[in-house]
Amino acid sequence: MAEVNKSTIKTLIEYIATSLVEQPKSVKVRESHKENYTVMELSVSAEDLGKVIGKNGQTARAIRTLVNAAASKAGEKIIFEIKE
Amino acid sequence: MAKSVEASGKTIEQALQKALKELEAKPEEVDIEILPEAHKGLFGLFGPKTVSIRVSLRDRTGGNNNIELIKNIIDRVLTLMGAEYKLSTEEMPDTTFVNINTPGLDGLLIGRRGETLSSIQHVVNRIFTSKTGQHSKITVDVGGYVKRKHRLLVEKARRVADRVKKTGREADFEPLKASDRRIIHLAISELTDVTTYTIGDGLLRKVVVTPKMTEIGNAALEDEEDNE
Repeated sequence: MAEVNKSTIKTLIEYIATSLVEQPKSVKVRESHKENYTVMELSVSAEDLGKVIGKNGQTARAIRTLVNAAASKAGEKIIFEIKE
Repeated sequence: MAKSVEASGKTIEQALQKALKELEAKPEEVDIEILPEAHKGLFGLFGPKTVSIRVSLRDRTGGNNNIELIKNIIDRVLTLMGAEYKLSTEEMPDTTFVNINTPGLDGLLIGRRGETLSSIQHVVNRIFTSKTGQHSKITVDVGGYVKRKHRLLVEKARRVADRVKKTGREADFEPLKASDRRIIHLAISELTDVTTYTIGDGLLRKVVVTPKMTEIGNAALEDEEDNE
C-alpha cells in the first residue's frame, strides 16, 4: 500500500502548486502544529496567487478537498490555507 | 497551437459536419468542445435554437505524448494521496476519458457526491493546461462512477422527455452543474418532439424540457413553471 502521511500530503500540495505557477521556486508550504490539527499554509509569488486560487476559488477548493481526502486516509486533521 | 474553428447548427452533428468541412478533417482527428449556451431572450424563454461548438484539429503526432503526460500527472497526485491504482484511458470525440480502479479506495477518491473525484479532475486539467498551454478536456472516473451517473441522467432525461411529449407541458430538472446539464441537452437533442433550454443563473441554472412548438404555441410558455 502506498504510504500517506503529513510529509506526502505536503509534497502533494507542493507538486500541484509548482505545476501551476510561473515561479515554482517561490512555492513554499509552511507547516504549523496545533493541539490536534496541522495547518499547511501555501505561499506563492503574488502574481501566481490567481493560479492556485482559480476561477471562483475552484482550484483552491479542489486542493483542499484532495488534502482532506488524503488526511482522512492518514488519520490526520489538516487545514489547508493559502497565504494572501 | 492546434487549428480550430467555431461552428453552429441545429444539432451538434450538423455543426460538426460544417466544421469538419472547413478543417478538411475526419471526425476522429478533432476535439470537440461545446460552447456555453448564449444567455439571451426573456428568462431564456426564447432560448438558443442552435448549438455552437469549437472544433480543434488534434496534433497528429502529439496525441500519445499527451496521454503519457496525463498518466504522469495522475500518478503523482494519486500516489501522494496514498492510493494504489490501475488506470485505463480512452480517447473519445470530445474528451480523454481516464478510468481509475483501486483496491478498496474508490470511495475515498470519489468522495461525497463525487466531490473528491471532481477535484482530481479539476487539478489534472489545470496542471495539463499549465504544462502544455493546450486547452484540455480530461474526464476522470473512478470505478465507473461517472459512467453510471451519466447513464442514470440519460435515462431520466428520456423519461422526462416522454412525459413532456405525452402531456404537452414543460418539465424542469433540479439545478445541475454544467457538465450534467450538457448530458441532458445532448440526450434530448437526439429526440424529435421535444427540445431543451436553460433558465436561472449560477448555481440555480436548470434545464427545462419543452415540446417543440409553432410560433403561436409559444404563448403557453408564459404559464407558471412546472415542477418535476
